[in-house]
This record gives sequence, C-alpha cells and structure tokens, in this order.
Amino acid sequence: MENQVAFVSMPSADEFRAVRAATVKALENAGYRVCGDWSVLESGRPWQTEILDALASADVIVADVTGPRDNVIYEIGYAHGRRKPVILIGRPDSLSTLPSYLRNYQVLLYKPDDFEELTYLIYQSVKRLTSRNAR
Amino acid sequence: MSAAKKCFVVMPFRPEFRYFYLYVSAHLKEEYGLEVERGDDRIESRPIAEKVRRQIREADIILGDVTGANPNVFYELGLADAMEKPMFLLTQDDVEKVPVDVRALELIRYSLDDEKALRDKLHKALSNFLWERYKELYEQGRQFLRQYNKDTGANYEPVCEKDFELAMVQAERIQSIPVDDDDALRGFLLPKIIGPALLDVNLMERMQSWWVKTSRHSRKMPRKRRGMVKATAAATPRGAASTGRKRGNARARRGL
Repeated sequence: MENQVAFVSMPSADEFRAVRAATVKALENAGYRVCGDWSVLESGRPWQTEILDALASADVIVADVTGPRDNVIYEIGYAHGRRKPVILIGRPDSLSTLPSYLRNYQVLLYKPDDFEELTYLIYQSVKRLTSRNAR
Repeated sequence: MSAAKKCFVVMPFRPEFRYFYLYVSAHLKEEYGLEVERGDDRIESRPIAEKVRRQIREADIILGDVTGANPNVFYELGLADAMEKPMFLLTQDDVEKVPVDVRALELIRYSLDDEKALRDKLHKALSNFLWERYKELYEQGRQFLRQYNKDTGANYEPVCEKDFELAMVQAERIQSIPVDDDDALRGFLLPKIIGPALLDVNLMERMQSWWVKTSRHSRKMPRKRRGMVKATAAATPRGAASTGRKRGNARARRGL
C-alpha cells in the first residue's frame, strides 16, 4: 500500500515545536508521510493555496486546539467540509476554550513537557484509521 | 435554478451582532433579492452542526463577519471554503488581525457608524458576484435582440449591463430563469434587454407577435390561443409578470 498522507495543523509559535515534532514522529511511525509542514511547503506559491491543497490531499489531519488559534480552527472546518478524519490534540486547558462545534469530538490531551503518552495515543488513533480504511 | 439565491451569513452570535445581522439580512433581501440565513445560535449537539453544514451546502454565497476572531465563525468558513462556496468577509478590525488562511479572500472593512460606506462596498462585491451569473444571459439577450432587429427591420439598442442586472434581480424575486427552454428564455430576456422602450405598447405587441411567430411550436398553436397570448401581454405592461405568462403558454403549447 502506498504511503498515507497526514497533515499537521498547529500554531507556528516556538512553544509548539516540541509537540509538533512528537506528532510528526508518531505519524511517521504509523507509516504516514507528513505534509503541510513549513519545511515541506513548495516555495513561490500563495500560503493559503499551499495549505489548503495539502489539507485536501491528506488522509488524516492532526490538529492542536490549544488556544485555539483561528487558522487551526479554520483548517479543521475545511477538513470536516471535505469529510476528512481529524484527530484533535491539546493541552488540558484547551477543553474549556473548545469552539462549540468541536465539543462532541474527543481531544487527546497532553502535558506541555511530556509527549510520550501523546505520541502513543496519536499512533494508536491513526493505526485504527489505517486498518479501518484497509478493510 | 431556484427563484432566489441563498446567502448564508456566518457571524458571531453575540447580542451586539444581532442587530447588525438583522440590518444586513434585510438589506441583502431588499436590494439583491437574496434569501438570507444563518446558523442557529445554540450549537451544542451534532444535529445542529449537521444543519449548518446543510445550510452552507445549499447556499450560493457566504457572507462572513470575522470581527473579534470568533472560533465558530472560522470553523464555518473553513467548511464553506471546502465546499468551494464564494465567500465575502466583513470585519471591523484591522486586516493584520485577520488570520492568514482567510486574508486572501475578499475582505470588506466596515465600521458601524458609516452605513453608506458599508452599503457601497457590499454593492461592489455583490454586483461582481451577481454579474458573473448574468454575463452569459446578457450576451444571449443581446443576440435575441439582434435577431429581432434583423427580422423586423427595427433598430433597438440593448440596455446597459447595470440596468440589465437590476431587471434580472427584480425578476428573479418572482420567478426562476427558464434556462433550459430556448423560447421561454427568449420571452424572458427580451423585455429585460430592451428596457424602458418596452413601455411603448405597440412595440410590445410587435415583439410579442414576433416571438409567437418564431417560437418552435407556433404553427401547431390554435388561433384562439395565440390571441390569448397577445391579450395577456397587452394587459400586463412589462417585466416579469408578462414573461411569466408567456412561459406558461409556451408550456401549454408544448402539451398540445
């Protein structure tokens, strides 16, 4: 089977660098190719086109709802509009600020200094998706 | 094609937007004949999210207000973007505060104390959108008029694009455009492309009989009925009502 593609929707601030790395690691371990990362974006194309194309081509989206950031919420809406599975992650306090549209989705919570459990949870989630798609 | 175009409004549900929504929806309805809707203000369960998704899917155009960066608004805009709906965004904030994902879209800055500026900007954005839809029909209407001029030796000029658009918006409030019936479309477009000149009853009659003569099924039509078409057209001066009649008769004839 060809590599499945995952998109990581996360604030670009430095404080999210570690959780992004952990997320990417979990996805790659599960056999996914990660797109939509700063380093993978083609240069010379409008930012928005690039992001939305990446989203549209992804098989799964992992989105960090800490904050939440407007861009992330927009990208989740876009992914839902395309009927893509979206895995939500966030710090414990993100539950209280979750937009009402997302309140009936599970959020995988992580502590800002410990990503081991998160890596495991994301791995499990996408693995479940892969096996569901394979069936 | 349904009678009225649907506009879905994405706006925060805070009370201060309530009046603004009422104002904007009344304005869009009156000026552009749009049917305006927005999501429910209690989005707590799955069925309501589904309802909003359906409303967006059915909309022809999305008007979003990103003032104050409300997450639910961005979620709905993301949904609409994925469904490739044309979107117009309003904001009271500086453009720098608007997230990059939507900054590329048409953004209308407004302030609550300048109603006229808002109306002007809305008009510019919306008429481009509406014109996209009417452009082809305008060309078709001009073609019909050329044909009429050629057949009858008349020399009528088409109305300008702006007047045509206005006539179309008004007509669409009452009926849908008969795009899949050439005769009916001709009867629908001619009065709009010729404009005020049609107030001349004689011209109207001439045009009417030309229309009847050149319609596909005119030869099969009994004399009595042809007379009726004339009579109704003469009784209803111009615009949508008279073309509506014509369309009805075209249908009746096809049934013969």
